[in-house]
Amino acid sequence: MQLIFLIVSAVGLLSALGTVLARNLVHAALFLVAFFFAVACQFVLLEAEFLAAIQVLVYIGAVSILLLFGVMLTRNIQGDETTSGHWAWKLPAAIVALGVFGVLGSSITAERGRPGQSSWTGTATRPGGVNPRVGGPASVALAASPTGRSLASADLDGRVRLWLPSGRQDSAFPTAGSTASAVGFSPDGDLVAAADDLGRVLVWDVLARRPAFECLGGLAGRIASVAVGPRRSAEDPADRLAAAAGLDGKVRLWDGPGSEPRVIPAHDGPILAMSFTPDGLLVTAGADRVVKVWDPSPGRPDPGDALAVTIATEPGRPVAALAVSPVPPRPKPEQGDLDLRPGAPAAGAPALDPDPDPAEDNPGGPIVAVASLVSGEPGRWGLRVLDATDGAEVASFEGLDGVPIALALAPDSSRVAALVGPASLASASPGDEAPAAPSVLSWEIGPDVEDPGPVELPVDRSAGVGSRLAVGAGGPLLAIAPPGAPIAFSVGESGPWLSPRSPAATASAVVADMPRAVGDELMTRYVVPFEVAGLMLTAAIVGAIVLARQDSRPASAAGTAADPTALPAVPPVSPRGGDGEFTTVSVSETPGARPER
Amino acid sequence: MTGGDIPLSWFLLFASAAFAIGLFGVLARRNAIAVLMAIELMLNAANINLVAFWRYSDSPGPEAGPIAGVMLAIFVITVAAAEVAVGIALILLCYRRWHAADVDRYDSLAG
Amino acid sequence: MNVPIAPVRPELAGPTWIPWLLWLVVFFGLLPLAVAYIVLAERKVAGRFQDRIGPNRVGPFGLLQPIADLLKLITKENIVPRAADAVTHLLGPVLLIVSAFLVLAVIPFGVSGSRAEVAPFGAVSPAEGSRLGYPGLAAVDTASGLLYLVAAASLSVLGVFLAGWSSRNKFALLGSMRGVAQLVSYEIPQVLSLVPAILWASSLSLVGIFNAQVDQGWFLGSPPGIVAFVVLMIASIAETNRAPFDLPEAESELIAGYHTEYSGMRWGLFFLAEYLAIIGVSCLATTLFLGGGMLPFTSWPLGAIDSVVLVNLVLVGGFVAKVALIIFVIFWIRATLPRMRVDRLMGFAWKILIPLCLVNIVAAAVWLELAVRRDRPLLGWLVTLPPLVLALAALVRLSRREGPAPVVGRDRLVRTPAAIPGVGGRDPS
Repeated sequence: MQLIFLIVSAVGLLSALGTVLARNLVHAALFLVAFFFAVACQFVLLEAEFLAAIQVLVYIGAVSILLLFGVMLTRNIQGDETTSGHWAWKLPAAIVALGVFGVLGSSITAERGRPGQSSWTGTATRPGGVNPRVGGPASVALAASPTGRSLASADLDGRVRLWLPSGRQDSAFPTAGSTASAVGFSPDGDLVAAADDLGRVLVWDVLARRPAFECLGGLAGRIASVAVGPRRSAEDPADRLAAAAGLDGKVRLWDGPGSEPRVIPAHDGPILAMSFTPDGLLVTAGADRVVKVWDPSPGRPDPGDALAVTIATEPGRPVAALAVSPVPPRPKPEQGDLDLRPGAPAAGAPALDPDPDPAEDNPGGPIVAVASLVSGEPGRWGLRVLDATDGAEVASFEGLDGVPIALALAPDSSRVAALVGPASLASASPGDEAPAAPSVLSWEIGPDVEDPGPVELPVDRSAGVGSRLAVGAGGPLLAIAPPGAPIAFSVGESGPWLSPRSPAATASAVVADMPRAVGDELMTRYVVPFEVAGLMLTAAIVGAIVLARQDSRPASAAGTAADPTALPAVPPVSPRGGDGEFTTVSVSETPGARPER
Repeated sequence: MTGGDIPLSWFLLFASAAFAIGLFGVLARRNAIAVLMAIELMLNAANINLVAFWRYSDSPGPEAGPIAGVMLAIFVITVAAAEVAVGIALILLCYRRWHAADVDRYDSLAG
Repeated sequence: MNVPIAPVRPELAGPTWIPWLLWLVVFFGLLPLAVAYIVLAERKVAGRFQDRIGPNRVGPFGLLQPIADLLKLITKENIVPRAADAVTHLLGPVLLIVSAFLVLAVIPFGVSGSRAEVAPFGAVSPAEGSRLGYPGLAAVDTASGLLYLVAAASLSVLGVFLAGWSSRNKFALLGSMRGVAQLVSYEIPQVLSLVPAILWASSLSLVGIFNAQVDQGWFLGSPPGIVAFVVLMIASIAETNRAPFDLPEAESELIAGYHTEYSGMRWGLFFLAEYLAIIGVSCLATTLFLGGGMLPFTSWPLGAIDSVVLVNLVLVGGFVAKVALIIFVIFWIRATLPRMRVDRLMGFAWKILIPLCLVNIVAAAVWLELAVRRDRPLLGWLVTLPPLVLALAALVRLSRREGPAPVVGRDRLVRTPAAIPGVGGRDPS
């Protein structure tokens, strides 16, 4: 790609030089055409194909032709410049041009970027292509916003992107030289956090699209999930707990920005899912099949104090994937938070009932979804959704056709989705290539649901082991990030999967849609009068035709009245009496036409 | 992702070099049509800048729309095309008046 | 069903270089061959129109005539005039042929999948009303395909100019200046006549337009569609320098116009480019207004037959048949109409075609509202047909009021005593 750019640039600059140096003006115009073409290639490199087509159409097809016409019409058919410039002119001009280039070039290379923005000269600063045919950057982590407004993805090109449910990129935050391995939203959906491979937790404000704060000193790499707590004081929106849980089984807690992390051993194995509840409690789930709910406030640092410990599945049942949602399924869901980390063979999700009032009408706590082997039947996998506080089963779906690869719960606990691999993967080792296409199954859960599903969505074969899945809150939004391929979205109940749209496609669609948009605007305002007006127009036109006919008939019948529009064109030259005769002839033909035709 | 490895500054450097060359052409050439060509060079260089900054910007504001940079460039192209049409017409008129296409012959106002 | 995630359009099975190789074969093998036999067909057809037999000496029915002509062209000497600008002299025909090939690259000849499973370019989401479409069998399918096509076609203007200018021959230069003026003028109605199709399909992709016709029926079936199709055909004939618009190469005035100084295979390139351009505009008109390869009034093989090959048998067959029909009409026009006068040629474009296209765009918007969105085609016909007919009649009448074009020496003619009033027109000042 760099080579292509260099070649195109060299051609472009050489032809630009040719344009200003060629003695023959036609040759100069030809060099100019070559330069225009190089610029069109640059536009293609910038993924603005629409603009490239415009460039060729307007500049090569019209502007250069116009210039050539100008050359031809200035008595200079062969195009040689008749007067030559001399050095007295060229030398100062060259000095000025070189000076301008020097100033521009040095300031471009000296630019270091504004705070929060990347430098112009960095080689990896370009936002990865969102052009589906080129392929966007692969995502390593996904998270759905509790508000249902957006999805976050941590991408391999060093950015955390927010996506609108329609698949459009909303914003992108650079992680400044590192790659994030986990993303998570705060329970109110205001902040999104990412843990990168330098041990930092970076937090951005979703609405303001700028960095909120960052926490240093965590575990470098091997972070599987990250979470930000709810706001603790009304004055300072940044006064929150931040937590990163790693594959070493420890949770690192930051008490606001700038503080040193507290390291809390929480699980025996890797921690695979973590989430803050809206009440500020922390839910962790580990590969040790235990889900813990505990209070992370500074006064109670002991993980042994967990408010609730739930065994997610019985020993001996291999766990394929885990997901948690911090709120119980309710008819009217509250805000919650989802963190999803299904990459490893098992993902843990802990949940704790934040308000210890088990006697309530709706006593459910945070829920956890576990996909595990159904006991005693090798190759048969089932999915269970449990209440994390007491282990009660909320829903259970058995008889999955293949191995669950990834699992996701909507942040409002309204849906659970599983990426299920092909059946034969059950016996094969996880590294094998899937022999048939996997699919995404999604169920509705909750006390009111009568027909939970599942809805099956086939996905491409590339969505194998290592894929990430996310379910949006408040609607049937699904997102999948296959390994090495860009993120894809499904909005409707039954697909299809949509890739993010390219800027070029957006551009041409916007332009092509402009008349339609204008028409929409007109139609919404003048719907009813439009048809009436059309009919009246038709009637008026028909009437006009009839009237015009009646007008012309008596004129030609009388043979004397000349058509007034035809007359002024006829010079009243002839003094002879033939005038009337001619007029008659011209009128009986189509009026206005000349007799000699 | 193959496209991610070109730094933004390369595009800017190309654009500024083309701009400088165009500037040289405007200053050094004497034929009016050649001057017009050099102006086109400069406008194209500016267009590259617009598109490059659009493509490399991380988060367009919510009011900017999805294709702000492209739209700006399209405006520039439109203006440039109109400018060439007007420019050629002016040059042809001047050519009829002075029988020369060189800008330093159009010196009626010179003191 | 296997819905792809990363590439939005599913490829036919096999590694990616196989389709590319096939496209190369189609473009550099099949199309030139088609050109050779189209030339033969033209000679045969023209012969029949003129009550002759046409070439029948080489091979059965003269079928080997194109091969013989090709061999002759290749073995002839390339003569470059001494005064000519050597590089640009070569560049002219090359640009023409490149432009002709580039135009064909975005034409969808059929479908590459038998199911409607591709999200259209720029679709926001299925929930917002965009419909899935069939993947097109085109070498390149870009979001702004139609724009690309127009841009590529406009390259030919440059080729014509360079060929004429570099020859250092006044006939060639005159021919090329005529050609450039004509091509630039007729490009405007050509582009404007594409607007209704873009409007109805709300897509610049040719595949998108094909899919819109699968949905809505041929775009030809409406008054604005008919007008746009006819204007497109007229402008395309002018763009390809065919009779009756072949003034740039009018042999009675300009020897051979801009390619006077070309011989051998370079002349052959002009020839190839001209006929490729004819194929190109026929394919364009077929794709935009005749529903691609679809059968009339039905989208039958699509969605009914599961095999891509069988569906394409019908679609590509229909496409080729339509293209052949259009090409035959072009031959027919050439055999029937005399060459136009140069001022009438320009007046026709600027005074009739362009205003008519502008009226037609408004009519197309009305048709979109009435017939497409609210499904009332009858009302659409009622509303759009009269203004179009009226506009055409008014434009024809207005353009005739100017009288005959100024003719050199007319002043003397008018001043003779025998001059009849009215003959001289009004101007003689």
